[in-house]
Amino acid sequence: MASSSNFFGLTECNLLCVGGLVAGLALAAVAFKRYQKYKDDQRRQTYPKDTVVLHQIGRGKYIPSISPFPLKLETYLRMAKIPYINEHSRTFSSKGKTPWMTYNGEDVDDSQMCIDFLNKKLGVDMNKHLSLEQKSIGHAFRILVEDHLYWTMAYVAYAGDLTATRSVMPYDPLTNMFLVRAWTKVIRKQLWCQGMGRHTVEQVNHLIKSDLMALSVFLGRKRFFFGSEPCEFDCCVFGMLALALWCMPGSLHETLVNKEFPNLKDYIYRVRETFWPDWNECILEPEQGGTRGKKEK
Amino acid sequence: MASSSNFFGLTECNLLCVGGLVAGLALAAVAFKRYQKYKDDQRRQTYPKDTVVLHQIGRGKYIPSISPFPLKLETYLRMAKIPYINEHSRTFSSKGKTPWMTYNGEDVDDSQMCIDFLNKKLGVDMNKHLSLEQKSIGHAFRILVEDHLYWTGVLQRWVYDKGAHVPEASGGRVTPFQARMISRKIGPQAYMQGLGRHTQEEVMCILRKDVEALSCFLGQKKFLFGDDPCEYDCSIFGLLAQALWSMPGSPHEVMAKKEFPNLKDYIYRVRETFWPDWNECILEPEQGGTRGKKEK
Repeated sequence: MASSSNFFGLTECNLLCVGGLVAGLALAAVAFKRYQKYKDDQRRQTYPKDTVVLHQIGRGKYIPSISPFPLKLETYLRMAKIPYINEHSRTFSSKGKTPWMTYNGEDVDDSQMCIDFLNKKLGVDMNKHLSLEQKSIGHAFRILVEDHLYWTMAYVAYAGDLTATRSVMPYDPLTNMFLVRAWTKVIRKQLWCQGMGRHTVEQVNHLIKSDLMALSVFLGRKRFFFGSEPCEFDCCVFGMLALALWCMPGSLHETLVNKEFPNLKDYIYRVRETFWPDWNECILEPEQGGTRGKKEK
Repeated sequence: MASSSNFFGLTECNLLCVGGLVAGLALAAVAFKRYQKYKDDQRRQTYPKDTVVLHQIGRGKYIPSISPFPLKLETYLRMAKIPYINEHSRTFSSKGKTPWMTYNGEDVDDSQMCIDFLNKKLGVDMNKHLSLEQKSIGHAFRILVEDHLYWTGVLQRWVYDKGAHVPEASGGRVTPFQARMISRKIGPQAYMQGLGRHTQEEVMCILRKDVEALSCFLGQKKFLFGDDPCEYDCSIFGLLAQALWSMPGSPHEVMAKKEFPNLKDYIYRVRETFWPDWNECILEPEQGGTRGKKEK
């Protein structure tokens, strides 16, 4: 009796079944992708004209966003009085970043590129009252906040004990667990590549103190970063410092802002009162794990 | 006749040979490591007291270092008049960075941590003439240069140019093969850092904003904060000098040479002030350098 030919112990029949399964899964994946795109296109048709659609990762328990850049961008939109709606789709841009926005069908990512785009498109200039030198200083401080202080915060939140980070995650327990695990892996690699991740905790603490001290000294007794009028740079400084105050419990950032640099704390509250009078409606309700309506500690 | 036992077709004899070879290689590696450590300890005993030993990656063809941070640190040592010697060992610190230094037996890495260490140890303060506000602004500009402008340079040199100019700029110390290998590693790092996710056009726009901010703040001043240099000048010089002398044909070079003349004047001013022996700190022609040749 002739035996069936086999390939690594699999008969032709087995191979056909495996092949069919793989092809079926591939087709299902393609169909799902097409369906997602279809739904995405349908949703984009509902976007209002001349209105920014701000794609974010959802509201936080204590703060409108657990990420500084969506908070920065949303503060800018409010400051510049640009009509916008939020889409808490938790999707990332083509560059793998958040937030990103859509304006009259055009997608833009990176918070600063969104601001530059809107400034150009709508003729907005929140810095027009500043001198050229002030603008150059503001630019340097924006980079300090977004490309240095930010990494110290990422280090504290993700390079060590994750308890505090888990406590502020605003999603359901399973999603929180999955996201913290996934983000920790990515952010630790980012920290190493960027350089901050190569320092010891003591060294990073020194850097945190240097950055916050520089911000506090420059702000001094001024109401906003450059005087009595707010400017575009206030959006980014606020976005980052608000996270230190409300999203990093027990951290050195929180302690320094709360206790050692009271002018920074006053500044954060001032920006919040000016541009976020509805702050309480922009954080999660208690049923969703949030603190809306609860007295602030 | 009984056959020899075998494991995946290898006889006992084969296995013994393979095991012996692996053990031999492992022993050789350990012995080599021990020898390196012995030589390292021997060398450390020759380090002079109260003198910084600055570990660098070697001189460049047109510039004392093709990396901004060794140039920053060496400029600081000259500015603060701290005795030092160079060890162009091309070794990296425990954090995988360069430069690093040894002072009276103690190793310190990261250029800014070296500066902070020496400031504290030796009571140096190159910023004492600055107000608190000026120090805060200086700190912000240092971060702009080292944590932002720096990455635009990394992308230009290693991603867009794929390290093509590095062999020449290093006087041949970095081979084209090594440059290609480094270039492959740097791209993903820049992506992780964030700037590498942007298009080249977007990065050039970011570069322009940083350089404009520096140029605007410097204005007509001799140094960043007036007539007297300060610690922040070291870091700005370290980076801007790269634009002028080790990134040929790059937008960085064009901006520094042509579009922002006050920055060019500033770079030359710092060089004349702290590097009167610049020519002796670049490679000789026999080593692939331009020492003694007229500058273009």
